[in-house]
Amino acid sequence: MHRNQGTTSWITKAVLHALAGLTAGAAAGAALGLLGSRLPLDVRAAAAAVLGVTAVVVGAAELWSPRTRGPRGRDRETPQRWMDMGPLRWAARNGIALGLGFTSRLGFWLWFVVPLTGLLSGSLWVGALAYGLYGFSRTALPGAVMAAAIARPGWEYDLWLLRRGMQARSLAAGNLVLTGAAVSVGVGL
Amino acid sequence: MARVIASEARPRAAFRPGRVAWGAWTVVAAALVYAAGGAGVVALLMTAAVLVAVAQQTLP
Repeated sequence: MHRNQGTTSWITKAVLHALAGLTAGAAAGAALGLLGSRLPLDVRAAAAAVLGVTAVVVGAAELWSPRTRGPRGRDRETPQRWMDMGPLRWAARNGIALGLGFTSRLGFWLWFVVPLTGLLSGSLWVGALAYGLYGFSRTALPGAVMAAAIARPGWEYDLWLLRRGMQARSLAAGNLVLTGAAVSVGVGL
Repeated sequence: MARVIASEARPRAAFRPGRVAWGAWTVVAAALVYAAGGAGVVALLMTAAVLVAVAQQTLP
C-alpha cells in the first residue's frame, strides 16, 4: 500500500475520484460553452467546418499510420507526491487533474473533440455534458477495473488495457474521421 | 543493417480490413447525421468524449 493510502476504503477513493473528474470536466465544459456563446454563430460554424475537415484528414493519417505518436500534451503522470496529502485529498486532486485531461498525457488527437465541443456548440449544457462525460469516464474506469479484478481474480484488466494500445489508436483515429465527417455534414445542414 | 532490411522488406501501409470498416462506418454515420440533424452530431460528439477517455487508459 502506498504511503498513507491504506486508511480509507478503495471504494470511497474510487467514488470521490470519479465525482471529482465529473465535476472538473463538467465545469470546464460549461465554461467553454459559455465562452463559445460569446462568439458569433457564423464564426463558430466556419471554425467547425474547417476543424471537421481537419479531423477527417488527421484521423485518416493516424488510421493509416497508427504507429505515429499522438499529441503528448503535458507528457507526464500526475505527481506521486500528491499521495502524501492523504487518501481523500489525493483522490479529489487526481480526479480533477485527470477529468480535465490536459494536465497529463493526451495521447490521442480525438481528445481535442472534447473541449472544442463546448466552445463551438456555444452551449453551456452541451459543453458540460461532453466534458463531464469525458471526465467521469476517465476517472471512473480505474475503479471499475479494480472492481472487476476483485470480482474475477486472475483477470488482469489493467494489463489487458495496456496491451491494447494499437487497437485504441485505431479506434480513436477512426472515430476522429467519423466525428469530423459528421460535424462537416452537420454544419452543412 | 538487419533492422533496415527488415523494415524495408515490410510494406509500410499494409491493407487492413479495419480501415475499410471505419470507412463504411463513416458513410453510415454521415447518413445518420444527415437524417437525425443536430442531435446526431451531438450523439457522436458524446461518443467520442467517452471513447477517448477509454482509449487513454491504454497509455503507458
